[in-house]
Amino acid sequence: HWDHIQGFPFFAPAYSEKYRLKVHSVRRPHPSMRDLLSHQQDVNFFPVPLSSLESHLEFVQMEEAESYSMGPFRVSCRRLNHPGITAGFRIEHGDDVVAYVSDVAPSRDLLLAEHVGSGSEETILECLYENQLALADRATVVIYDTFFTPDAYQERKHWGHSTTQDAVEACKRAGARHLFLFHHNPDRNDQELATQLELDRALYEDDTFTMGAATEGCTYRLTAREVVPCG
Amino acid sequence: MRVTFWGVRGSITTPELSHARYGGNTPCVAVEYDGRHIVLDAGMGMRWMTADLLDREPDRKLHLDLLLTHCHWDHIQGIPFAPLMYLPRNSVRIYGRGGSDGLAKTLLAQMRPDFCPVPNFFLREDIGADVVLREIENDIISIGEARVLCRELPRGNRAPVTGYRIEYRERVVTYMTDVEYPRGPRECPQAIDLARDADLLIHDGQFLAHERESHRNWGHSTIDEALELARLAGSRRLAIFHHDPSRCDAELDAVAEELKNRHECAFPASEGLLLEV
Repeated sequence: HWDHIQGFPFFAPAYSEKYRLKVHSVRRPHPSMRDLLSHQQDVNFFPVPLSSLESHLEFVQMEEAESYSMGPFRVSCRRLNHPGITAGFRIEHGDDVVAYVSDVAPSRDLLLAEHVGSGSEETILECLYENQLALADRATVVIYDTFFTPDAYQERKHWGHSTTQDAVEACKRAGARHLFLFHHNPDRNDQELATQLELDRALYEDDTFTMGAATEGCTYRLTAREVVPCG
Repeated sequence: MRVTFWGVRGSITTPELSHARYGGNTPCVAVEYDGRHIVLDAGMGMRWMTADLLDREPDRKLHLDLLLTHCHWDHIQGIPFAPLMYLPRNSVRIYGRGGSDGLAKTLLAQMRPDFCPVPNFFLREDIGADVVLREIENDIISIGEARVLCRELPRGNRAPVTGYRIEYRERVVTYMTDVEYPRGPRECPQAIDLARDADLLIHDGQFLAHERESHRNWGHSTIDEALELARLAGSRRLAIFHHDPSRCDAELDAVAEELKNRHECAFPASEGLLLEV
């Protein structure tokens, strides 16, 4: 979806022959990720075609649940309930794990059954929920799609996003340490997000679980399951 | 005419705090007269523009005339996210040129479910505003009492874009963005005519003078070229527009200072700015 790829044509290293870029995504049928990114840079819409990028560009299709080595990290992916082929990622380094679970809808209504194995809708939904738990299993940090308030979700179930409550439930079931609320609704301003966060922290935090709102420009250091803001 | 700048940033949105004053929304300028709304380009600023309009007029049936200069992402990316497009009581007429596939196909491509997280209101009778498309080239169109001249303008070695001149009761607003003059504005009579005696000229000024040669055929103008066109055409006020994504607020403040010495009334446009013409 646009919000997850629109920065790519403006990523400066992609234009430099000094760089090697590997774009990983869960296996998908036609159109491939290369086709999709090419289309984004079609001459009608953008001045530079993907084929002109000077960097060494490679596309890797990942198999779900398999572990891939990427430098010092081990990375795996699993499908999520969302309209469109979508996967979350689990990134492991030593004892620390970052789980990126976005975009995702609660496993109540199936939003895309294509290519998620066979079985009844109920089975598929269960499998997709297990995927979330597998990604977030004992994670140090879970970054989770909390676009909706419970009321907004009721009106827009088919949009493919979750609530803070959904995120907290998944994190606690998976034994995750810290939750970052993510994919903020464009209609919610800083004040609204901050106010809601305070209410949620009072409700959900305990000795083993903390939460915050992801904020652009912020960096954290993860060491032995501790999450420390830095910079 | 009331002119509001809802997005003045070129190429890509720049939400960083360092760019917050002049703004990070991609191009969208609204011109209001007689209760009518002309919208120039549909960059991400269109989301804000339509949200504001709906706040001001919550129950009215609204109509927009949207004039597109071209269909690069930064000039159309606001369409799927403009709340007005989702309310069936409203209507929108979109004017533009659609590249190799025509306007309809080009705008529909943005709504493809592979890419677009929102429903395709163009194709659904139940959820969208009533949308009419009109392909234009060099045309004169009437929008209420306003006479709008649409003119093809050069873009270096790329496909041309459309510039617009809005004339309403002896007032003129001219909008020229993503233009690149192969041999300078002096050698572009259609640009000079479009901007002639404009009360407000909104013109691309993405680059500084020293950036000209290294950005040949990128499809934009320098601030000097915008100033030269304003002088040649006798435009009264010049708003520099389509700021480079790298140009932070401090740098645009420096541009503003310099412009004071170069023209009676020239300034870098900032989002949220409202001018009466």
